[in-house]
Amino acid sequence: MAAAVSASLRGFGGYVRSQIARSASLAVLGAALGAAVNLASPRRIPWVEDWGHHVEALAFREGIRVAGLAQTRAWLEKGRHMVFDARPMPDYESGHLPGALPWPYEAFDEHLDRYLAALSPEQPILAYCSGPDCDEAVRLLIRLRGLGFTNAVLFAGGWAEWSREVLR
Amino acid sequence: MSSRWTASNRWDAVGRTAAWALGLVFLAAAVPKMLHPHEFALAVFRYHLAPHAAVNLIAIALPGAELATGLLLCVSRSWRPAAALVALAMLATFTGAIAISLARGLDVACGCFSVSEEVGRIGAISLFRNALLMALAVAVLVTEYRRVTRLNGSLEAAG
Repeated sequence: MAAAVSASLRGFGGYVRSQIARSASLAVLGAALGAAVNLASPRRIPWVEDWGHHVEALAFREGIRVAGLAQTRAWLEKGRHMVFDARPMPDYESGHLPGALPWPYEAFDEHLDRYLAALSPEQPILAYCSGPDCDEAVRLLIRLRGLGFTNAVLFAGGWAEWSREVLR
Repeated sequence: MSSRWTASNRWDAVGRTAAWALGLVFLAAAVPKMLHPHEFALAVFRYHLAPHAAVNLIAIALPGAELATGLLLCVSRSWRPAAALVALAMLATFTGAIAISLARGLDVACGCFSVSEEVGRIGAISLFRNALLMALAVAVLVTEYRRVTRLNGSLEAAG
């Protein structure tokens, strides 16, 4: 019985190996099909993009958690997070997330004095700036983490996503 | 003879059903990714597994491979085992990526059947679903192997 099973498995293994060349050509054919679709598509994307400069790449490297729009909205409705807008003051004043406090990264120390009494390691913090190309919010959170305020999340989509998806 | 033939028909039916089910799943997975390539590239990026320079290449090539695999699983008997093997390899890769991301504590969208970041977050369900799909791919390979060995046996007997 064991010998028969072993022989069957060897035979099956040989059969699978015999399909590898065909599978490889199928994979290449599929990739070429994808390339052709991308070339023809009005929504085509470049073959190579600089994802290293996306703010989430920095957040990931620094171990900062990232929240999407739906999670951010849910948290704002619960109202437990301190929400900080890391953009310059004129941008904050022209529009910001509900309940967000201004904390322009360029004036970090000045605003730290203002908010320090309300901050604690347990206090959940959410920060955002203009959008995925803006790193000021993640840098704000990195500095706060260095001060011991580690319960922090980045809303990477920022004001751009909020105004596009929520305020439209 | 007739009972063996009936059993063979049953195995063929199992293989055909598994191939069609798996093929349709892959076709359903490919379409939204091809329609929204930037959003799919963002989903690939958010796993933080692929080198940044490879993210878009993966986002372009993967849906094409899924489409070709799905089509051949459904319509081509001769390409079915190769397509099942490609499906198995892709599913094993996706499952590994999900498992690593869960172990890292990432909360990201799967990007499997939708490119929306709010739909289909990764979790144990994703792993379970992929395990079922891999079982379908193995079923296709096993039934096709049985068919080929049965045919070879018949040819030898006839010869």
